[in-house]
Amino acid sequence: MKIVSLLAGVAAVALTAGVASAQDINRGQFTLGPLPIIGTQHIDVGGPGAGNLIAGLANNATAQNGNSSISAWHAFGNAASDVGTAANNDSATFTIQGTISTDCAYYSGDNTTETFNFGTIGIYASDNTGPNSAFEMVDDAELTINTNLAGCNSNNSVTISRTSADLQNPNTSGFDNTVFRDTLPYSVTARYTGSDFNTGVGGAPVARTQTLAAGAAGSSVQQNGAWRSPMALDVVIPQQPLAILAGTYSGSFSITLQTI
Amino acid sequence: MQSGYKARGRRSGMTAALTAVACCAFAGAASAHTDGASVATFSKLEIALDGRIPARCELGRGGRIDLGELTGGETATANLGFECNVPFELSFQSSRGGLAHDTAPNGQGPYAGTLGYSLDIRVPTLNPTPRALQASFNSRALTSRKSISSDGAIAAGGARLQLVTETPTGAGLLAGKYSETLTVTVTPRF
Repeated sequence: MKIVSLLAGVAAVALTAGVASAQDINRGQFTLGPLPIIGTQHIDVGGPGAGNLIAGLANNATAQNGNSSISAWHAFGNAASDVGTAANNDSATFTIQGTISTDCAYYSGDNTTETFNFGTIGIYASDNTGPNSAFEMVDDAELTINTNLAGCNSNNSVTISRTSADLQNPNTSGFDNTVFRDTLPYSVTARYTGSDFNTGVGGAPVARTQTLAAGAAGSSVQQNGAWRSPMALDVVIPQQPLAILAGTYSGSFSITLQTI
Repeated sequence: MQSGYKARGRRSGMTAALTAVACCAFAGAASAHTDGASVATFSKLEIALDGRIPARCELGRGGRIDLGELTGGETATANLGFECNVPFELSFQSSRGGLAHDTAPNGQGPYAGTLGYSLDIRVPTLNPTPRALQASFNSRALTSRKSISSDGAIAAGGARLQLVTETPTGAGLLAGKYSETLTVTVTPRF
């Protein structure tokens, strides 16, 4: 389990320092009088602004002078303003991210190479076989390889490829090539459930039947979107119209799943 | 003094409002003399002081949380700066209902394109006794904004968010980059 800790910002109280201009108090009064007719007058002093500040300072000095002939009182004061902005609403946004690495799977046990031996590929070898059938294959040779896990978690290609189109026989015997052949073509068909390639959206599964035909050179490539399903590989060595030269026939093919 | 709350000693604004009375004795008025006795007189000055503390609710900035490879069960904890000196409401909203694939949020084939998560919230409060405001949400539910109320309490400082991703089901998640935006909003309620 992964744990990620993130200290998300700081509280409002730790915002940048620097006290803004204060909410100043500058207010007082002094007495004029008693004057004829109007009597004693109390004159207001102070307020915002430089001019009032000067008057306030003077009145404040008077208010502290016990020998003054003028009665006065004055108050100076301030309180620091808000540091930062006293917002009514505030919000914080977290961006959360992660990744999934591309991956393809084809379960083949504990190795990636398997050898399958057909044993003896049956031919008509009896003296009683008619001349048209002698030394010919009795029937197709077939092989099916199943796995219950194949697929990729992103756009991908499925490729069936082989180094030579046919099973090869290294027998150095000469032969009449109108009667015998020394190679055995074979086909490989992959059956699985794929998906449409590079659509950007999810879609219905697509049944795939992908064939590298007998005798065909090159490879067979099928592009898919992300898919996962069992996969069957059907190998068929079809019965040949010519007689088969004796010897050991071998070949190999590959199935490759690769993200694009 | 804000009713019901202890004014915290931080230098953030005006001092608490209070009313004080100062009594000063001045030898100003004429005194009365009768048959050699004197009667003291006095003047009284009342001074009223007042100020105000503005309502303030602030959240620290958010951030970027990188969970790395998503295999399910990833946990992320965010300690969020949070101050609010009045009752409040905290709201949470998810932009995508979970961590969503950048280009295929609906997935592809048997692979999902969105990974949900659970969100647990814990906010220390004062009412005036210390308590904690707690809530849990699923990311899918957060596509419509969800709010929790402090029910008259103020924030004691800070908030903690904990996120835990779900375990992918079926074939798993489509390969690629996933992201999500979670927005936290505070609103005063007084």
